[in-house]
Amino acid sequence: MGYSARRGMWILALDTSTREGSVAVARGGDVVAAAAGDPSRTHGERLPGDLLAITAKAGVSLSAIDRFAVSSGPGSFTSLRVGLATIQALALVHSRPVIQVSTLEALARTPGAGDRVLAWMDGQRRDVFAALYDRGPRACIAGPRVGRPAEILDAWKPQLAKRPLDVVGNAVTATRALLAERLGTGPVLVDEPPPLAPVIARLAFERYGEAVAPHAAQPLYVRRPDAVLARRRGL
Amino acid sequence: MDILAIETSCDETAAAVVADSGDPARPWTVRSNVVASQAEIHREWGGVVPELASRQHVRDICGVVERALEDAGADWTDVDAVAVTQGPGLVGSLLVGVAFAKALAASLDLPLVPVQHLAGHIESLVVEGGRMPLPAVVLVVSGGHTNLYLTTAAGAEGLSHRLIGRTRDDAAGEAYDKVASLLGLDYPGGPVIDRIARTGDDHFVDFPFARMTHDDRNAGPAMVRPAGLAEARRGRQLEFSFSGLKTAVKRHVQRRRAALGCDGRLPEEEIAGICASFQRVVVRTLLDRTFLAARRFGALSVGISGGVSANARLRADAAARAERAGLPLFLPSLALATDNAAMIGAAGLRRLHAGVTAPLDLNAKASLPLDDAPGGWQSAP
Ligand SMILES: Nc1ncnc2c1ncn2[C@@H]1O[C@H](COP(=O)(O)OP(=O)(O)OP(=O)(O)O)[C@@H](O)[C@H]1O
Ligand SMILES: [Mg+2]
Repeated sequence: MGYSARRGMWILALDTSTREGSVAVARGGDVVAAAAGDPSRTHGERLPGDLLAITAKAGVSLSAIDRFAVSSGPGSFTSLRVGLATIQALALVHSRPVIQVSTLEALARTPGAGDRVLAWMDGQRRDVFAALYDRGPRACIAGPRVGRPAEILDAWKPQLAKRPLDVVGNAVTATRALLAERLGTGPVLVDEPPPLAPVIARLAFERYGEAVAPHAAQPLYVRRPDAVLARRRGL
Repeated sequence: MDILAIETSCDETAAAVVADSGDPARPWTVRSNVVASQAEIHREWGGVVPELASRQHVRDICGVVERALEDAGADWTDVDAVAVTQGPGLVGSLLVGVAFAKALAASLDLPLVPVQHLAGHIESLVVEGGRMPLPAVVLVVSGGHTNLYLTTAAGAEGLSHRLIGRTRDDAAGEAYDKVASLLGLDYPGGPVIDRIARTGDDHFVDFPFARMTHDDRNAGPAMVRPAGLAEARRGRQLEFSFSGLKTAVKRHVQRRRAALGCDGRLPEEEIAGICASFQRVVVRTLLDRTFLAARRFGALSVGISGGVSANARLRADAAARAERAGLPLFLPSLALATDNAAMIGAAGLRRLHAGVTAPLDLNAKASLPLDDAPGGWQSAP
């Protein structure tokens, strides 16, 4: 499809990788409506309501959406699945494909000045989900992986030396001292990145041709199931 | 009216299309019934691993729903409502089905009908056997439940289910699965024990029956009036307990292993004898309580549903007892005994006709009791 045709396409984007999450509607690459979610209610309760509300606000019906975009993770397993199952159903009914965007990549594409970005999400178990990117499309340098913050910083030490560096994500607060110790005071630390759905919508526009069938859209868990981890430890 | 039903409460991803038949005697027509079982995935773990189950539901659900439509020869425009299992079950599994069903209902602008999983198991009896003479006593016996219900009419076409007995510890299906595992048999244990027990002597070992009335002198509160105590005793006669039986099997197996000096599996004929003897106790316990309840409540029919109702011995013995009691017996076909969405669709249609729909903020519930009759178990003192 030509670029000019793509410019008229509607994209609905959903992020459920954090408690609050967010939704957005874009026409071509331009976000026309976006909203952050209410963290006091679960995604299970808020969906599909939040999506209906944002499409209404954008003045577009679900049946007019051309691409359904969703954050694939990492994040809370359950929340990712709730978001994905919702998007799968919408895409299936309307015979439209799904575009998945890594949450870490979306973090790395939030506005910032650094040439290199460390996406740094709280893994909720004294660990982090991390990936390292060069700013600009498709430049994943390392990760995604899950692990102890210090271990990851040590493992990626050479790549993290490149400056200017931004560290973005909700794991920043808990690891501020460690980041200062390992990376010095140079990097810009962004603990509260903006809602990701608008970023996901824009990335989906860039990747318009990479859509997959609804059933093929699956979470990027990064972490293995506990049962599998326990068995490996037992071996 | 055609309802699309989705069931993901445990380790089966299921979807079905069910329609009103127009015949009150056999109200539901199953137009399609698709189940993707995860048994192969969980077998190596000896039981359902919740996170693996949830991951598999997201992989299978699109294909299962599309297949259910295709098998029914239907497309989206033929669907008039969406039913979904709201609970009880594994919350991560339930959430996949609920999120999916809600998004379907929202995009198609259709009513959403939440269904309690056990109400689905009870409805499977009507799907198969037609309208039950009411009141009915129904035993729902599965991997997670061993519940006795008194099912009565509520309104013109509605049903009301009052919980009149349940297990205090393990569910019967759980006992099957645990006993199978300690005999070194495959998961799920129910079908395996069912098969092996056919070749065994059911008096090979004398396993104990749990007595819920006489052994229980201290169970009641100290201050109850005599009438209350009698009532409480009578209530306990309809309770089940299978953990003592499981322990007895375990001890027996340990003793035999020590005697034979083997750490692996016991000889085949011993395993068969143990399976048959264990099953005799389970089946008799289930049927004793069920037919006692039927007598006590003046039931006009008896039903048995849930995964364990697939058991051959249970089905044969239940048929014999029902014949003796002069009561019609309702059993699901094997396809509808274990988890499926056809039963959820049928129960969903019944609820929809009674005016029950859910808003789009419907949430899955891991624990969701079924007892919609006043004076039921939950509200009993
Ligand atoms: N032929 C059989 N004999 C005995 N038990 C059986 C047989 N077939 C299946 N089961 C048992 O039935 C159970 C599965 O039942 P089912 O699929 O209805 O529900 P569940 O998901 O385990 O639990 P619930 O319905 O309570 O949520 C397992 O414990 C299995 O061992
Ligand atoms: Mg069941």
